[in-house]
Amino acid sequence: MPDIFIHTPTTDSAHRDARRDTPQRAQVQRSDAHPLPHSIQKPETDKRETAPTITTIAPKKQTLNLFSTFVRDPKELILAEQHADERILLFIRRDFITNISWIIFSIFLLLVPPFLPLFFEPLRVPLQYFDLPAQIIFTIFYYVAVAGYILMNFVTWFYDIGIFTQKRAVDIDFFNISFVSVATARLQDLKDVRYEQKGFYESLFDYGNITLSVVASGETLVYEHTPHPAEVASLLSVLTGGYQQ
Amino acid sequence: MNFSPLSFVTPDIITLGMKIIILIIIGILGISAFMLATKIRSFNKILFLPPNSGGEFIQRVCTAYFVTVVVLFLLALLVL
Repeated sequence: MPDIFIHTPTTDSAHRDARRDTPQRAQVQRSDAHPLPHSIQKPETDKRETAPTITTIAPKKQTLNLFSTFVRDPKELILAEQHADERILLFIRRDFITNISWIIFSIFLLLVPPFLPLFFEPLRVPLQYFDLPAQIIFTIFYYVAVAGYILMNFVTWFYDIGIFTQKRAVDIDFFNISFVSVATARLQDLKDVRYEQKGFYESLFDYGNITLSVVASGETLVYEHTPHPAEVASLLSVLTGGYQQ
Repeated sequence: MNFSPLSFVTPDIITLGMKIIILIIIGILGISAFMLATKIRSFNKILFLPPNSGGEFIQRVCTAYFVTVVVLFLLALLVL
């Protein structure tokens, strides 16, 4: 059974109300004594009248793994200071295809040392300055440095995370060692949700940027190179009760 | 008298200079690896990633990398 249903209401006022409320609020309101729009009180009837516009969040919990980039309802993932009634709806990372440049460069770096004498011989640079132990140390150092480069890039990707619960959006950025950013915004403070796909590769591999405008601070949360941006944006626009641009 | 300002630059000096530079670079690499390992630990506290999702694995890899760099630094200090 899907967790969230959004129905297309029949009247304009009902439409506005339904968009303004998060699904959880809508559920709470159903139990209230106040009169509610027809579409919310009798969802079964509406289902027959109009097709549901959006969106079902995956009924089954999905597991995270080392290379996960897009996981709905992630299993066992917990945020620090997560509320008891707060549920993580979506976990995203930068699309894995964006790593391709450093992966190719790393393979090139790993293959360079065996071919090094071929480059140095024509230049007549003597490599015999150093004794054998020193050459071994240099070689190990080179590979350790390349491993560091790979590790740093992987960690930068691994911790470039976006998390959406039904209450807030969290953006975690990790760039090298020097820059770490954790930004959180309540969904009710988000003004609009926008996504953009620019260029050939973004269209081909279906990833793009998602921008959330925060009303209170006037700042924006940007999730870069997010996989399936249209899907994420439509989910967010439903959760925030706004329009997708 | 024929005097060149670069006459002191002998192969031995070049070798020594390169060894010192390598030691400094390994030292910087070690400090960076330590910073990375500690940062990963603090990150994993913000985000409780489930087991098998890679958070712990990355933390272990970073720690192992730091240990490797330290061992390399000590080896370089002894050998070079």
